[in-house]
Amino acid sequence: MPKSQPLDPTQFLPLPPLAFHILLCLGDGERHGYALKREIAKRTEGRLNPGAGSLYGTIQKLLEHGLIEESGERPDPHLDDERRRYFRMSELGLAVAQAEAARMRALVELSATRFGLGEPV
Amino acid sequence: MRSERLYRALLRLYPARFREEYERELLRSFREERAEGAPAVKFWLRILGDLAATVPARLMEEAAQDLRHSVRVHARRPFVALFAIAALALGIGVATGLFGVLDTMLWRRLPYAEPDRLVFLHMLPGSMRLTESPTALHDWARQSPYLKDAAIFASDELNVAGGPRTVRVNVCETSANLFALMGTSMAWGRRFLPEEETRGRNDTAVISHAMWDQEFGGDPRVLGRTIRISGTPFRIVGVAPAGFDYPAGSQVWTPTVFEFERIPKEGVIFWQVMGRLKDGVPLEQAQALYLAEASRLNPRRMQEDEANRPALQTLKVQLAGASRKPSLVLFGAVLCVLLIACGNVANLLLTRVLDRRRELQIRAALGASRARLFQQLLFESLALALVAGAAGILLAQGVVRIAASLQPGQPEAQVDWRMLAFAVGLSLLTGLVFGVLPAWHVSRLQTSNEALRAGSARVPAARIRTALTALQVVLTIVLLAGGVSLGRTFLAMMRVDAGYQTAGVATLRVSLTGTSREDGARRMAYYREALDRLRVLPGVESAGAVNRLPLSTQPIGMGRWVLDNGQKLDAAMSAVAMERYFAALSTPVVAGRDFRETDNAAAEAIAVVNETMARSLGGPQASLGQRIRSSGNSQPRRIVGVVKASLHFGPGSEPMPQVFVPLGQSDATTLTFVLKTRGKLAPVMASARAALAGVDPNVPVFAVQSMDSYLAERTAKPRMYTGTLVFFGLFAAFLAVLGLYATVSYSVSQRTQEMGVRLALGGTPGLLCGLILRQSMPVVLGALAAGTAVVLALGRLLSALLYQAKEVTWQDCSAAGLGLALIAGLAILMAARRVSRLNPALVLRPE
Repeated sequence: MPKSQPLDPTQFLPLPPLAFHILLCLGDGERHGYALKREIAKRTEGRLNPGAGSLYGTIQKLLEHGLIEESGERPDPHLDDERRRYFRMSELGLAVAQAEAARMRALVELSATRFGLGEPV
Repeated sequence: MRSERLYRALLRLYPARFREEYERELLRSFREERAEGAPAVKFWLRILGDLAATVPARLMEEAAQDLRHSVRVHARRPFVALFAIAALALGIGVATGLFGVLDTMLWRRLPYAEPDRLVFLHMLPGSMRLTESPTALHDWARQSPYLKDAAIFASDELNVAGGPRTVRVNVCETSANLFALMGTSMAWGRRFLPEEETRGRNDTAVISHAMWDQEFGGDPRVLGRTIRISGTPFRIVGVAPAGFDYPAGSQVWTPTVFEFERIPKEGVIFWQVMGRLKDGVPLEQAQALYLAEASRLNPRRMQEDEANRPALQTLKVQLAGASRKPSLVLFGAVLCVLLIACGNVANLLLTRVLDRRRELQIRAALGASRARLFQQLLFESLALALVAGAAGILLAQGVVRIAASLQPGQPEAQVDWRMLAFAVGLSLLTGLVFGVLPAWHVSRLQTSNEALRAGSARVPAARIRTALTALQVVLTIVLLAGGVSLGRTFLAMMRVDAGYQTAGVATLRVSLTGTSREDGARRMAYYREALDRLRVLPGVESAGAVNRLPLSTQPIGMGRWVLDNGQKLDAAMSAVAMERYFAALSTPVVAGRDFRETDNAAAEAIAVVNETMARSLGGPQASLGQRIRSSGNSQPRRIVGVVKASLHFGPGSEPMPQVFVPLGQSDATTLTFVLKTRGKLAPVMASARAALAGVDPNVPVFAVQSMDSYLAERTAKPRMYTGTLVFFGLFAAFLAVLGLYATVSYSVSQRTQEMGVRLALGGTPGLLCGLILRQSMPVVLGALAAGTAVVLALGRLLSALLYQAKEVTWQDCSAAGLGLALIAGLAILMAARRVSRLNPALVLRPE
């Protein structure tokens, strides 16, 4: 969605967990939908395993808001010959992901001063 | 493969844009996940869970987007949207209101045990034999082949004292088993005991919850207290549950041993019988058995009109009474209006779609699929319908209130979830009905350049629009002819001379039962003094009194009269009147004289009859001097006067034989004073009330109202039904003509070039208008003919609306048809007149 004025990244906060994970994956480079899904499931050890509807619903929203963009259609060399739609993070997406990370860090720091931090699970 | 096909079908639940964008990815993801080899059940649960979580969200998002777009489009020409909303709101609102009324009246469960098995034995022949003794009833019920048990009861409006004041309420005398039969438990205390049906033990009473609250402040110590019904003491043993007031809004119930004198009655006792069907006996079988029993007991009764013929009805049908059929007919009429409104809105939207064709075609060319355009227009229609539905719910509240004012005694419908669900359901349905056509039409739009030049989509649209217009005309003629028929009947009914004048007449009722004025001499003295005081009030021209006021809902008594020579006369209604009563109602004395003050017990026994009665005595003059006596009373009365026959039950009823006797020679504990007045009524009524209080402040004065208000109450229903149907008819005609105008005007605008050529070739605007008229009118006339055929076939339904309504005649149809054809012709001409403004040179230049 073309915007004439630069958008304030904080207006998208807080990001839904799935949206943040998608941005995290795309931080490493372009991915197609199925690769995103597998990577998110692996990264969260199966705790977040989005269905196709949720995944593409979130992708559609991120596209609409301009946080990610399509980078064309080509086959995945590791999977098969079918052509797939690849997505990459936009500049706005990067700024939003950074803002979300900062928001989380602030929360974590506040929690640490109040009641300490437990072991990561 | 089969599971993939299933998934592909499920994907159709997603809105068009999302589906088109991601269907390939979703399917691939489905295949890949399945290849991972999860157990089928787990796999499908996951798929379905994902769909359930995401379909609604996607739908809402796309609907919101589509609606934002629609609002922008409609804001440019708000008239179409506003008109559509108004037309639909009216249809949905009235339909919802009537649904609420019908739901409360007919479809909701009554708060009694197994209410569908409770039946009302309407006009049971010989029901008096059941009142010989309580055992007569129980013996009859026991040997009945279709009843498990039966109760008999009668109610009357009486004075009840017990709380701080004397109130006038409906008191029901009943066999002791009424509450048990209906399966009603007491809120407090107990029901009647079987032994309370014996003489000496029947001094118990159950009061209503409302009376307990209002007269006894909800005091639980009310049990055992004494109330006086018309002066007779009764002990309260129970309080009925809240809302229970069967029959006829009763507030007090007492067990009866059919001792009629124990509680002095003011009206006529009319025993009614209710039963509970035997287990395993279906209603139809019970009805057949009842009719067989009734025709065995009294074959002549079976020939009576519907209201007086024996019939076994479920309690629900009996409670709905005479309002049932009219409400159903009106419901049918309003659905008709709604259908017309749908047709009209579809037509309008189709016009808008055709206007927007270029926009839609460009969007299609830019990649919007047919499904996408279909979805958008459908969402638009649904949104319009839902807005209309919301407005309709407000309207429905008004409808419910009007219906409640017309049907006193019926439980008032409340706007509840059932009505809301109906309104929402109806809105969605109407949205679909009128939205599908334009949406379907758009989805067929061509995207080719050739189509972009316009024209190719016109032909099917024109046919659809013509069909829609014809359908509206057909439905309109049905409603209009019905309205004309009812209106004609109603006007004719109101024009009939009722035999009395209601304008400027005030009435006040008093009841002496239970007061110190109840007994003979004191009673007469009260009436005499009251009438004397009323007569001298300023503004009173003439004053009299009667015990059965025409138009009021007081029960009447029909009695047998015989001539002195033993010849039996028709059953006649008896009334007790004081002198100048006829003058106060402007009822002319056609022969002989009115009553006089001197017609008292010491004087000769006399009577005044009406013309209807006089007819069986050889006419007014011949009746004078004849002696008649009522079959129960041996004292003969000489007829001294004949008055004009009057319609006791108001316009639409038939005059019946009447015999009036003077108060001085009869007795009545309840009397209505009738005052003919000059000038304003309200001050006279106030001073009359004060005058009566001056005679004796302990005598309750009630029913202080004008004769005009009685007339309005009596004619409220027919007026309402007629008014509603006429309004529906006119509204339908308005919608249909508007639809016609839009159709013709659109078709003319599409034919500008053709018209330009015709003008250039020597055609005059007048000729072209004639041409358009000739081309458009056949549709209208054809639809009129079809509609007339429908009306004549369905016309009988209308006679159910009013007893007096005749079937719809071909004259009604012609009147409605002619009117509709005329305005249709005018609308066509108005739409066509733009042809006359065409400049052929300008029109043809692009060619």
